[in-house]
Amino acid sequence: MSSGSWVTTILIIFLMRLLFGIVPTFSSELAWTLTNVSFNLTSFFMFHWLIGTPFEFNQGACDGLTLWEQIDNEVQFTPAKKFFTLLPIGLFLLSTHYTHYDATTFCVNFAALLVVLIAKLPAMHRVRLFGINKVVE
Amino acid sequence: MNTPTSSMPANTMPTGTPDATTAAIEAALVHFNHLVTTTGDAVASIPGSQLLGKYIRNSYQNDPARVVLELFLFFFAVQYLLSKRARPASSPDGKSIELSQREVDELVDEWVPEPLVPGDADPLVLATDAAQLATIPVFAGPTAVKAKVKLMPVAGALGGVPATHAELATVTATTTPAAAAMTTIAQAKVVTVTNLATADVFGFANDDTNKNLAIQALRKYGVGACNPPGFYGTIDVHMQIERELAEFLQVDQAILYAQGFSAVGSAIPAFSKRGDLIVVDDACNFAIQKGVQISRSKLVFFKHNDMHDLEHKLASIEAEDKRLKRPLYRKFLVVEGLYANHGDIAPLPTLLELKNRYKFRLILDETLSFGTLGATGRGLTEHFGVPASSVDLLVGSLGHALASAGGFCAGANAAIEHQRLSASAYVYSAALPPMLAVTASHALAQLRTRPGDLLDPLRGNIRAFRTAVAHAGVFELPSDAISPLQHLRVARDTLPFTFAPLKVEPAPAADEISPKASMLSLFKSSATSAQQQQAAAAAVLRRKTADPEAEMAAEEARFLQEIVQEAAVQGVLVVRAQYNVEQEHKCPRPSIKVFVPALLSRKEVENAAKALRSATGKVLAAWAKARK
Repeated sequence: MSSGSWVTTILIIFLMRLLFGIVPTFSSELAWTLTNVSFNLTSFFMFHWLIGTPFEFNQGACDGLTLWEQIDNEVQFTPAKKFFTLLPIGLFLLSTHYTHYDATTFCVNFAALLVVLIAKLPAMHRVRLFGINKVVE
Repeated sequence: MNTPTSSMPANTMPTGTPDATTAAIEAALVHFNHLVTTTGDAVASIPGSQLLGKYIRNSYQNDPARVVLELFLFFFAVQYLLSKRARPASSPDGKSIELSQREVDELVDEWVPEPLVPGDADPLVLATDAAQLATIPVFAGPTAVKAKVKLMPVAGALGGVPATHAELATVTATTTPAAAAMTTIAQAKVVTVTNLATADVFGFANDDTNKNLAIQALRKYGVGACNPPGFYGTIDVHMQIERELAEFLQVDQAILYAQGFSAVGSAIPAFSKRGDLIVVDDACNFAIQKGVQISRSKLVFFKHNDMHDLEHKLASIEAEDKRLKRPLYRKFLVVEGLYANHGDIAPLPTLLELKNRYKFRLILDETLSFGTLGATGRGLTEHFGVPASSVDLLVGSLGHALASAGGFCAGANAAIEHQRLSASAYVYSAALPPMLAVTASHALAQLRTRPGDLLDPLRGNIRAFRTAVAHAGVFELPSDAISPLQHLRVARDTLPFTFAPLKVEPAPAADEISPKASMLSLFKSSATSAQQQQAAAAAVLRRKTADPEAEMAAEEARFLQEIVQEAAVQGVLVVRAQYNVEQEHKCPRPSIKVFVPALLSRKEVENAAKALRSATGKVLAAWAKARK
């Protein structure tokens, strides 16, 4: 299933890698690591940190939910969710390959992947750790 | 992967005996070797397999832990990709019922459209409604205080005989209310009755000046724009009545709604949303109930007019807010000035004091009290001597005392302006026809210029009616002494009989039906033959008679309906209060609704009450005899 947002995300990753690669002092390995880490950080912030909706259309039915939880009316394993879960995994595998499996960069990349993957697990649906971002009814 | 090159060991047989098993093992090993080499060659022949093999060999990098991790990740990805759609249990509508394709096909084949008139309502209610519709008087002229009506012959024995299951089932199965009504209208005779059933207590609807103004407005504006007020529907007479209402009540501004029911039902959700709190009196009218329901706010009901219960609830809300450290949210208190279900008035000073103390906003529905309470008809606020601006949202009706149509909301500038963009009934409904705005203006002008002429006779008539009706002995009068709406409820302990529930058959044992079976039964078509309908009605009756109070209320309703019918014969038109029983939050007990008009003389009111008394006595005697 093709979707504009999927293509856009892949393009954004390309652009990020390109931009990081343009900076003269960054090696290719560093550029890949930075791409992976910054992509995971921003996608975590957008999908799993921000709460609610920017515009009010349904009188606050989704006020306490992150964007990930709101996708597809809270149904799990939809094509959109599958794509956005497999994308960080694919990016991680790429970045470990291109950094020649160096241990430090591997750990950094893996930590970033872990944060994002755990947030996307179905078991974490509507779970709030340590009361962060919890909206009391 | 290294292609294993297994070589066949040379003859490893122990010297001496050639064994059949070892020969077989040898043959198998040769075969296995051959298989492996051919697969290795096949894999090697796939383009890119050399590259993949080289990559995998390179990627190993002497780090088995990392490889295991990546393999785990890979298999997790594959498993995630292959998972089927599922709704998690933690989401609000987590559990859905899965139907197999065969079941879906079955339901689709069996589906028959439901009839427009449902045949499976509660048989008791349906029978009472059928009887009522069959005998409802039909107006043969204007709905004036002395109205000409066509009286239907009274259906069924005036005996108050409790109907059995079978009789009720027959009624619902074979007689539709519409059919029964149509056959009898032609045979009815026209009589003049005293109309105590209209909310137009001042008689503005039949005032000649008013009628002429309406005709002039009709000639000038037509019947009105089909548009909402915000989209070419506002006409100068709308703005004029809004200004006049605001000046009359001495508030900043007023906004006009085209329908009285949707005025309060749309003003409440314009301000109170999901996440807010509304504290409502539990005897509020249906419009308020629908308004608070669609606001999606959290609702807390307090006992009708019980200020101690209200204070207790407000205090507990405040305590819980403090305990849970809730962020600030909007809180509203919704009450009626004159309750439509009981006719009593709200204690406004106490309410104002409570709302100020607990930081609530007060929404006051003055549908029945606007124009009828207070020294000059300005409503409940004038009655208690407080300024109308102390109420945050004052909602009133133009269709009751002002005998026009529509509703209004009056209050501060900010509150009213907000409704012009956020109130559903203002934004999405057609504007009020201009001739109705004109008649409302004229009625308001009458109220403004000669309040004494209108209100003094009204109050006197109410007093006279109450004392006269009290002589009947069977009625309790829950309504206030100054309320033009008088409810007459039966004081059950004064009756020589009881509204005993019908004999109940024990409910079927199979009450624990699986959700799937009950859902399937929901979809299955309604019965087509009369026999099946009867059986269905009886089954519904059996299931629903777990509530003896509801049964007694249904019997009481039949009793009151017979009084209403008999009163029409005796020359006074009253009505029984009607409710959407299944949707009411707390359905009030059956009652007769009387609107005491101002235009009658004291003597005429007393005569009307006397006719009502005699009708009551007749029905009472018949019921007492039948239930001895």
